[in-house]
Order: sequence, then C-alpha cells, then structure tokens
Amino acid sequence: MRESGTVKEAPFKLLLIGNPNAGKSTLYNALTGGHARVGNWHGVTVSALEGEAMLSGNRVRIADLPGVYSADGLSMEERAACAYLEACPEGVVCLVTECAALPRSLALLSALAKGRRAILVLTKKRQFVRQGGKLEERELERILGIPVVSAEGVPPRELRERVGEALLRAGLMRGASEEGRSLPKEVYMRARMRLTKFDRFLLHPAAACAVFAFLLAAAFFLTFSPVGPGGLLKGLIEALIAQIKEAFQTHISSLVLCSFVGEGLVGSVGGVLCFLPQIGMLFFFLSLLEESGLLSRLAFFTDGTLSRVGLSGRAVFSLLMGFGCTAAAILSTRGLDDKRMQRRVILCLPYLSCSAKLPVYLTLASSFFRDQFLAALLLYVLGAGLSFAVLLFMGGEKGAPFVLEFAPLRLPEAKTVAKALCFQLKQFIIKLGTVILAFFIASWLLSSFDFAFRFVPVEESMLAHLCGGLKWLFAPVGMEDWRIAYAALSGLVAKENVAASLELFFPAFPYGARSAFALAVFVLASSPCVSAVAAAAREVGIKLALLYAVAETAGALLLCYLVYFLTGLGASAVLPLIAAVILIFSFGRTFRAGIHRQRGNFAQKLHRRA
Amino acid sequence: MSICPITSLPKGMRAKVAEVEGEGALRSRLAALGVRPGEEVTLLRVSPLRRTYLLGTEESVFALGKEAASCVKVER
Repeated sequence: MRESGTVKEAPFKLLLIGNPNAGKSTLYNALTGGHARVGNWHGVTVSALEGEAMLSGNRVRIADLPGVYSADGLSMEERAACAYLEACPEGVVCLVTECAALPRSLALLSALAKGRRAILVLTKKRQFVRQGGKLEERELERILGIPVVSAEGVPPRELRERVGEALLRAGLMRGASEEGRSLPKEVYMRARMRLTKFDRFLLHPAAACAVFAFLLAAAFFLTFSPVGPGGLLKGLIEALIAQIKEAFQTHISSLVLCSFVGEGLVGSVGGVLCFLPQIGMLFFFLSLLEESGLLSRLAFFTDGTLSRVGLSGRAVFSLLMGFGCTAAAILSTRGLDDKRMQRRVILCLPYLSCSAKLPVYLTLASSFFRDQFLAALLLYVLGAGLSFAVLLFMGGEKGAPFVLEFAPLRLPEAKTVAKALCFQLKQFIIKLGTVILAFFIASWLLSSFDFAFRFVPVEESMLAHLCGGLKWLFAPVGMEDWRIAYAALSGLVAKENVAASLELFFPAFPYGARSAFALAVFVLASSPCVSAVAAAAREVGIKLALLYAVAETAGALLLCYLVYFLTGLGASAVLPLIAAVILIFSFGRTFRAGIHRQRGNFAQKLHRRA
Repeated sequence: MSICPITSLPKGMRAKVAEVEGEGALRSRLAALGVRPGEEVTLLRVSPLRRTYLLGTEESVFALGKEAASCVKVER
C-alpha cells in the first residue's frame, strides 16, 4: 500500500494492455482527453502512447500499449508492448477487454501481470448482453480479487472517477487458472459468437465484389467527378480565390507586392486549397471503411491476391491509406507481422498515388484528357499496376502467416469519423502553412530576384541560373525547360508543391498532351515527399529510406522517358508491346512460384512440431 | 476417425481440433482465438481462390491464410 504522502506527489503509472480492438485507445482518449487514433482495425496503435490524467484527484501517467494477444509476441507490436511492461515494474496494469473475450484476456493478464497490481476494465457490454451473454461485475470482482470497471456508456468524467477509485484499490489478481475457465456460469456466460445476416451476405464473393466495387466507384465518383460534391465544392473555392486575387490586384500599387500576393500567394497556395474538399472526401471514405469493420472483410478477400505478390490481407489497410497519405500509410505498416513484408509495402506505397498528387494530376489532366475524372482514374490504375509490378519484381517470399480476427460490423459513429476527418484536414492545412508556404516563399524569392536583389522577370532570376543545368532532365520528353524540372523536383519536398509551382510559372500548360502525360507519370512514380521519407526512415532506417527515394526517382525519370516514347509510337505498336510484357511477367511468376512451392514444402516439413 | 487439415473440410462443417502445428507464436495466437486441441471449430467460408479460410470458434471469428489454416488439424 502506498503512503498517502507519496500518492499525492508522484504520479501513478497506469499501463493499458489487452487484445487489439478491445477499446484501449477509446479508454485512453476518455481518460486523458487525447486523440489517439481509434479504428475498428487491429494495429491502429502503432507504439505506446503516453499521457496524463487526473483520476480521483491523483495525477496519473497513462500508457496505451499496442494490442497483445499473448506474451509470446507474434507481431512487432506485441513485442513492443511486452518490453514496455517489463521496463515499468512499478506501474499498475489495467487490462482492457471486451466482455466477449474475457476468458482469454484473463489468461493474458495472468501471464503478463504476475506479481503486479492490476485492475480490469470491461468494454462493449451492451453488445455482449444483446447477443445473449451474462456478466456479474461484483461477483467477478470478488472472485478475481481485483477491481472491475465497466466502461460502456459511461461519460468521461465519471469514467475518470471510477478508474481513479479502482486504481487506489488495485491488488494482485488471484485464482486465475490457465484459460480463465473456472469462472462459474452465474458470473460469466457468453453466447456463441455468430456471424450476422449481413456478414453472411457480404461473405459471398459475388456480393463482396459488387459491394466493394460499388463503394470504391462511388468514392471515386463523389470525390473527383465535376458534378459530384467534391468537384462542386472545388469550383466554389476556385471562384472565391479568383475574387480575392482580383481584389488584391486592383488595390495594390507596388509591383513587387502585387506579384507576391496576386500571382504568388493567392494563386499557388489558393490553387492547392481548392483541392481540400476532395482530399477531405478521400479521407472520409477511408475512415468509413475502417470504422465500420468492412476493412477486415476486404482483407479476407484480398489476401489471396496479395499473397501472390508477397503481401497478405493485413497489408490492405496500409495500401488503402496510401491513397490518402503515403507518410501515414508508412507509419501504419508497423502493425504488420513481418519486417520483410513491411519493407515491400513501403517500397510499393509511393506508386499508389497519395491525395497530394491529385492536384498535380488534375492540373496536367486538362492538357491530355477531355475528362479530368477519367484521367485521374487512369493514373491511379497505372500507379496500382506499377506497385504490383514492383512487388512481383522483388519476388514473393513467404512472410508470416495471415491471421486476422473479424471485428463486428457496425455503423460508423459520426463523431469518430468527423474527428478523424478534422484531424487529417488539420494536418493538411498545417502542412500547407509550414512546409509548402516556406517552400513557396523561398522559390518566389529565388525566381523573382536576381543575385543583386533586383526585381526581375523569371528568366533572369537566381532560380533560372541555379536550375539552368536541370533543363536537360526533361529534354527527352519535349520539355527542355528548367521550370518544368524545378516544378517536378519540388515535389520531392511536398507533392502539393508541383501544382503550386506549375501554377506559379505557367498560367496554362504550354507543352502538349504527350509531355503533360509524361510529367504526370514522373510525379506518379518518383520518390514520395520528405514526410514520407522521414516516416520510412523511422521504420526501416535512414539509409534504406534514402536508397528507396533515389531509386524511385531515377526509375520515375526512366519511366517518364519510356512513356513519352510509347505514346509517340501509336496504338499499333503499344498493344503488342503490352501483351509481350504481360507474357514475360506471367512466365517469370509461374517459374518463381514453382521454386517457392518446393521451398515452402520443405520449410513446412522442418516446422512440424517437435 | 482420421486426422486432416481443416482446409480439406467442406464449407460449413464443424469439427473438433486434434492438434495445432506450426511455430510457437502461431500456436499461441491460434490458442488465444480458441483453436485448442479438444475445442470445436467451424469452417465458415473459403475465399474464391481457396487461399483464405474463415473459421469460427466458441470465442471468435477470424480469417486464416492457407499456410496457417493447414496447421489446424481436426478429427473427421
């Protein structure tokens, strides 16, 4: 028992452990008022989150650990959680568990919390009872010897009180048998876990294919089509920006200031702001997929295809996130079981066009496609094809086995989705405010002044001199222009910069359709922005991350040349070429698959239980 | 009574787990999900390419890749 003196001075430490998806992060948010990402998808907490809370008058440090199934540590998250526990021997363990998963969670607790003080927090009781389960908390508390708190439906303030009070009463757990099955039926009884009717429907391949194809098509349409809400909102903002621009230009007399505010600030930054509604919608649909639990069903169906390129269904979340933000997607790969698979996902993610590339595609699309919506779709499909090609090229070695628990399907909570959306949009605006704006101001300075700091046209500016050598980069694709090279390379800092730079230099894109398309392909395939490279460096180390970035950019340049060459050939040459490439790939894959099957069988024989 | 991997069962069939092969980490993960010798498990669905299997136990519903699913041996 702690003395009351120490209790008031030094903060307690509360360690939240439990199965993935048990509700730890929800509890953490309720206690600390934090905004840990909550998702209906195991693997969302990617490292321990620490925060402070006032519980029953005591200052408590709370750590939200990644989800753990057992003390053996199948995934990297589980190993991280166990290591954290060992490093904090004085902390109180708070087991957070769904009522439905109580027996196995108790087994987990007795393994992890040997000799430590513990409390138990139960979640999702409503659903448990609705499905026919029975649970007596007071009796459970009496049997286990540790405080039990039910969290569902309790407002945060009261929850803080209850947990704080439980924390003071925390004791050593007693009598938990190996599997926790000694719980008498009057205290705990669960109904058999069943698939709902909708689940059964969704698990028919034809139904699933139709539903997911519909959802993706709807998402694309609503986001990109000029008649959808995304396009309409964008039009509204564009009109607003144009009015602001005009207002400034009529009222400012100084030439320099006029250029800065009018063409520069409002023009480029405003141009990128226009895409905010569409980026928001993309994040919105991703959140819906995640929150509803549909993602696990998608993983079930995609695991087959993904395992053929050396990934698994678990990777589908990171891959889908890659369409929103590459950096966030790279961070989410931490939840993958396997370092090898993680590296492969990180390598192929940049080819899945993140939302920041969208402004660039749409700006260039008007030059080479009548329908912007189709153009964007084409580029996204091309990107997906490229990432598959990269994965195939890397060879398919078998990684960790695919095991994925189905979280129950539920209607996403509007509040959670709105919160996630606001968070992503806030990130976008902050990124706009800092990185891009800094970049813009630097490049406006460099492009509007010469080395003697006189206000000069672009051709005589510092930038023109500095980038003069770069213009040969895009000469093979018909754009021997340092401004194009500059715009393309500015994408290495932040992809939104490409659109901003293009707007700054070219009110209308002067080069033809083939060049525009080649440039779009370069942007598609080049290294992602610095935030993504930084995220990759955190996951696989700075050397590998930089190597990937350089290799991707070099590859992008070559691809850009190739595409330009191919589009010049005309359809008669391109189709047999594509057919030849597909044939070569299929051969290579079957050959490789044959070898791996032999290796796989041998490896399985070695792994038979000793 | 023969012992076979759960992957060879027809869809919808329930069977009793005889043994669980594979590495220790996989076995403990499966045990946490309810796949233990003597427990009942149902093969709920198989993906179209027969690479992913949806299993149901007393405790949960989960998807397994072919490699993991082949490690679950049941009595027939």
